[in-house]
Amino acid sequence: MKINDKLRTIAIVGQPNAGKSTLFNVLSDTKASTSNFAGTTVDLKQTIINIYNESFRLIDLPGSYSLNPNDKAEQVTLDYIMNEQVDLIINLIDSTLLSRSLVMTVELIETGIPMIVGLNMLDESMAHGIFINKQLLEQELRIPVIPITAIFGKGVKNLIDECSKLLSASNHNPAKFDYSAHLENFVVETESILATKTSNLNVSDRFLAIKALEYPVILGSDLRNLTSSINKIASEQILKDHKFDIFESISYERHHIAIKITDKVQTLKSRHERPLIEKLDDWLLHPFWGYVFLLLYFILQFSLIFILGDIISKIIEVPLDFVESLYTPLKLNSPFLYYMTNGIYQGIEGAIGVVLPYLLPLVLITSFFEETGYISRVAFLIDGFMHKIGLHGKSVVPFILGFGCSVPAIYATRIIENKIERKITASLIPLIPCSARISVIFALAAARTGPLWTVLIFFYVIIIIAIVGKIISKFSGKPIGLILEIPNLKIPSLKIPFQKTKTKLMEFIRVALLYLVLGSFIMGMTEYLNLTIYINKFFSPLVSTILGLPEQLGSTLIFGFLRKELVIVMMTQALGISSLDVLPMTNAQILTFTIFVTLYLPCLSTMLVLKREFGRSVILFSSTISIILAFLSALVFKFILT
Amino acid sequence: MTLSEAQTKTNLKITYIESDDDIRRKLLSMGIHINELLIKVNDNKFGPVLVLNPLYGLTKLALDRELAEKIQVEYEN
Repeated sequence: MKINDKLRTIAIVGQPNAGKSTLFNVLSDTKASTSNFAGTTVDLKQTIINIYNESFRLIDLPGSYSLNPNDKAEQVTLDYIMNEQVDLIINLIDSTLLSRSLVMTVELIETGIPMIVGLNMLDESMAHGIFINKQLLEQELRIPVIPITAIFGKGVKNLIDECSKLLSASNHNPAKFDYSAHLENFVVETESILATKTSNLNVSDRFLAIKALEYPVILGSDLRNLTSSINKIASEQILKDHKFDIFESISYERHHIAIKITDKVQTLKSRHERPLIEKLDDWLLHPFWGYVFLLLYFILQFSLIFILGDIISKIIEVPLDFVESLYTPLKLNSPFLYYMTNGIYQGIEGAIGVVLPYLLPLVLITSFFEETGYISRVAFLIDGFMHKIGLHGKSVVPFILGFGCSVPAIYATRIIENKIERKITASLIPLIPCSARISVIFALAAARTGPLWTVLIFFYVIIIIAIVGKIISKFSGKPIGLILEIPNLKIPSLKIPFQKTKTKLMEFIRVALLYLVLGSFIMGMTEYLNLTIYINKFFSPLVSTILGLPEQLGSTLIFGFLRKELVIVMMTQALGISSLDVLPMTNAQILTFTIFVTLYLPCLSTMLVLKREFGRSVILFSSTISIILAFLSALVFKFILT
Repeated sequence: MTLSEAQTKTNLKITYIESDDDIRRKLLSMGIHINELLIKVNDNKFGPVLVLNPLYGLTKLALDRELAEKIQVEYEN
């Protein structure tokens, strides 16, 4: 989206999982991805909103625990705050985590940028016996505090009104938090040194002075050089006085400021009994029962997708077949018109009748579990396995996202601090069956050969990823320790999973359907012009001679590179059949083809993102690995099954 | 003793963190401080240790075993 540079900017800033993307969605008409686990937003999102007839640029920044970035996503947040003209910060706070959130609030106040605190999830904190006095918090921070429940849009009107007031106010006067005397003296001295140089950064000199002492690497070389002497003196002195280095000392003091404020504004009501959801969480994270629940979760998710997909597919099939019968007579009278119509219609039929029935339950069920916070528990439970294959525990989050789509999963690798581990994880993500490939697996393997074979394919792919991960990690050194936030378990609102499914459906109609219809149309035309013969001949040594599959499937592989779903859409056309029910292939051939399609080449969109994030070397590496694995795996399936 | 060795459902005080600056910074930003209280909620022998900083509410943190072995703690009543 092209955004007018002259617009004033409102940035939503907060710690991971505070509900920033939910608030962004409520304040705008866009539908940024949200979920109940940290790291969903790893790049900034922007849109234009209108507040009382004035347009503003609204920015959703990636969640950050502090303004001392530890990974690429946190770096995006700091860079934006420091370098861009931010006119107002909405600091979104998770009310159940007040003191931890206030540590960052203190840092944000130090930037000198006008600010509002949005106290999110107040209902939830009250349910846990945590009561926050909004007036007292306002007095402590000397900035407006607005209680909101972003998920239901509650309090958002007040937030907008307060934004409007603050944006038209000429001055703002937030609290100033002094550090202990000798630290504060160094801050003041550094500030006076910085005052000698004009800075074009968006933040106050005090903020820069604190950072010059605390974490100078985030500043440019000019500011670092200017403050290097005072930094050296302060570091030595503070280490001597505090027995902690200067970074830790400042961090402690900020932490104590936050705790002092929390003590004043927050009251805890003793609970007679722990809520049921907390007790349930004990079971879900239990060293033994946790894995039993994890297995049940996989079985439940798998069965629901299979059953619902099958029901939807059968319902849709009847009207789709009827429409097809209307133009079939054209084949004899007007072959050109028939091939053109059939090309387009097969694309629509394949998309609606084969892909969507499995895609929709997959998105709905996955979003539902994401909302509960269970996905973080999955990450916790399988971290040990990830270590066994030599991967960083944080790879779990991108890996889980990879079951939805490889594109956001590759972006999510930004939460991994180590560059080499990031590259390894990104190279392996295209091997994880995304929703498109899961639809292919369900529509082909599950529907034609039975659900048990589908389980086997998933199991096989996981083993393959584990082996490849283990081999590659031999060259990458030891994984860094996992530090993962496990957010509170929630009873999900059904609104968000349905909203996400609707967004995915619209995205599918907007992007994928076009590819599918266009691809199918081109396929119809190549068939009419007898060009598929040449494509199939080219792939024949691989498809027919080595893998023992029908030669006609060769042309579907080209289309599958554009969108993986195209493979099954193209199959009916390529094989000249009316539906997949009459597929002229043995079970062994179906499974050999399914495993090949599941593993071969990342799709075009994934390749573009890999190039953007890592360059050509990772594309080449990931593509080579996937082609070799697809080929070898298909051979293994062929020899075992025939 | 290390966090990895400590018993679950006990109040612990962190006495020392032996790790590089990046990890230490990350731990600080997520509320793991020396001299502060921590509750070891769960201990998954095959994977991470689950802890909770009572000052920071109910959100738990998963720390992988190697990291938990680098955090020295003592029991606190």
